[in-house]
Amino acid sequence: MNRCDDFRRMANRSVVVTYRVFAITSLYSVLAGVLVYALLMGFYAVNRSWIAPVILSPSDRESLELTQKLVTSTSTLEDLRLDLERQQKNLAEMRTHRAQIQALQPALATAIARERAHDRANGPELQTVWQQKRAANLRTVKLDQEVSELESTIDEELAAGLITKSDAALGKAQLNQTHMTLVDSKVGEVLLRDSVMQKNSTGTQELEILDKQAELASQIAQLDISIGVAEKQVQTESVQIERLSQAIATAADNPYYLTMTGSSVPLALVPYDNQADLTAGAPVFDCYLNMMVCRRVGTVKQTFPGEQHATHPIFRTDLRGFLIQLELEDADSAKSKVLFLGHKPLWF
Amino acid sequence: MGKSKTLIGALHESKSDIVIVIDSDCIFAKNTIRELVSCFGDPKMGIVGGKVGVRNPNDNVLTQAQTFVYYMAFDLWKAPENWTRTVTCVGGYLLAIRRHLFEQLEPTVLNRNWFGEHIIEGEDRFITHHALLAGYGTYINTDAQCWTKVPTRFPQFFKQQIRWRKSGIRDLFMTLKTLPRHAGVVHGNGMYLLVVPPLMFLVFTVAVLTAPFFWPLFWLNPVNVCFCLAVGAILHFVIRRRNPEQTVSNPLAFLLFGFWWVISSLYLTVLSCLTLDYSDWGSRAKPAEAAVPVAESAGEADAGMGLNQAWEAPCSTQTS
Repeated sequence: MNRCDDFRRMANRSVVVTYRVFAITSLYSVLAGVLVYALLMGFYAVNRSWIAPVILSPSDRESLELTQKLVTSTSTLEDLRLDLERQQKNLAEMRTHRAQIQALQPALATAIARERAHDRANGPELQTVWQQKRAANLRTVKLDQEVSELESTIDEELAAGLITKSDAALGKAQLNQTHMTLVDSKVGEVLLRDSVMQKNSTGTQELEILDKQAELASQIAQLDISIGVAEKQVQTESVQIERLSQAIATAADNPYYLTMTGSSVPLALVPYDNQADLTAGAPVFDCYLNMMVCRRVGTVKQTFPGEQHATHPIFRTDLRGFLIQLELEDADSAKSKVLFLGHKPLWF
Repeated sequence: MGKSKTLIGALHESKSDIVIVIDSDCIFAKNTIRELVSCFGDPKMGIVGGKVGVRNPNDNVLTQAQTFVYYMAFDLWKAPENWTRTVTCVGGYLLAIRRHLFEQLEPTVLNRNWFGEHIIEGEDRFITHHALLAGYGTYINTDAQCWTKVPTRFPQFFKQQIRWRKSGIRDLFMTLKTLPRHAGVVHGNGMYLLVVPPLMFLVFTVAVLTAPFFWPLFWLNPVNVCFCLAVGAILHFVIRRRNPEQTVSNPLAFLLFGFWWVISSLYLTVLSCLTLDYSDWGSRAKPAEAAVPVAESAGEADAGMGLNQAWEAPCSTQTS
């Protein structure tokens, strides 16, 4: 039994010793952990030179979105430029056409006025002439009747042998000439009457000319409208082209623009509170032990003005700042949780 | 000597059927003894305790916060334990126990050790637990009121809290080790209360130790502060109405509790878990007693944690 008790005592003792070793180690570990935690929290609460590195790659969602937008915008810009050129040519042509029509209008108006004046002047005179012609024709008709009576006399005389055939033919020819003259005179009368009618009333020809005049005016009005629309379109497209060009130029200020070269780009998020030491060419430091044993790893290349949101690498709270491009001699430093700007955070 | 031995000594000097234990710095109401004793009308009742209030609620912010916590403990946390007469810890500041039960537990109490290291604190929880294991009920009679002075300084306060936390953790391990003995003897609610709440301390501690890796500023969560403000307001109202002598002049003191959980998990529980081999009352430091001789610890009752229970079967002897 004593041996059992001794063994039990030994076992208890070894358990206690082991427990104490474990307990001391654990307690000091917890204490060290708490101290490190407090130190880290305190350090990052007061330090104003840390930055959070970020690596952008061409396959990032934002890079892909920017690339897509730039391609679409460039394509739209080209289309707009082509359309503008076409619109401008169209506009020039319409203006020329309008000028030509506009030049034609007064000439047409003048001609119409002249013709009207001419008609107004010649109409009554023609009317008088026609009446005279008509009276003459009436007299000629009477004469023609008498001549027609003579034609039967010629036949009788020829039959009677009082005249020769040639005389008869000559006589008939003269009689026919008289008939022809009467007919010509009647034709002249009709033509005169027609002319009188044309001069003294509004004929279809005049109507056609007036229609033409109206058509020209309408063409000018339509051209005016089309020119107005085309001018507005040219103006709008010019503004759009300018805006798109500006937008594309602004995209060059976007940090994701750098990834369009096809390679990853080391950047860093600088919180607004930590920009005191930020200048182009400022040194960048990376530390082996979070904030101790630091070395210079690169410089600041350029700053991007747009605001960015991120998560604080230590506190895991929301963070606002802007991106800067780094030029790193040690590429692996871009994978660190934090880097430091301007100087080492501590003395070493 | 340690409180355990003092109590046993006093037990031997007394003759009554019911023994009442109080702390020397407590004062109690006129009807306290009657209220305590009246609960023993139930033959299954083994231990009855009283409700402790704070005599110095407005000494400083620390005592004000403790006043709220004490009130919550007895009016809220102990209530579910009372339902099934399975209070897991009847505090030694005001405790009444059946004589024969105490005598039955005497050897166990005296031989408390942790792998041979004698334990002197946490005897109230130990006795309560063993009363439950013996098949008795335990109860807190909130009409049996006493008042005590709570620590006014942080070192004193932390020593007290470490003592209490350590006893809770010891009790948890003892429960897990003797779980089969509880089946059929202790009510299910009692078993739940013996295991889950103390286990949550450990779980919470693990959560607090790992939280910085996921949420570095977890301790600044304003939800806890807002919650404590709300609870403090309610408690302040209730205390003013029901126990005006404990009215706290600054209800905002309960805000301290909003940050207490971090300290409790990170400091108290860790320190308690890693100093189970060290038993010290703290406020009354005594040199630790030598390890209990194995021959004395052999017996029918469980002698606390350690290899005793496991080694009893093959090596124990029945000493007279």
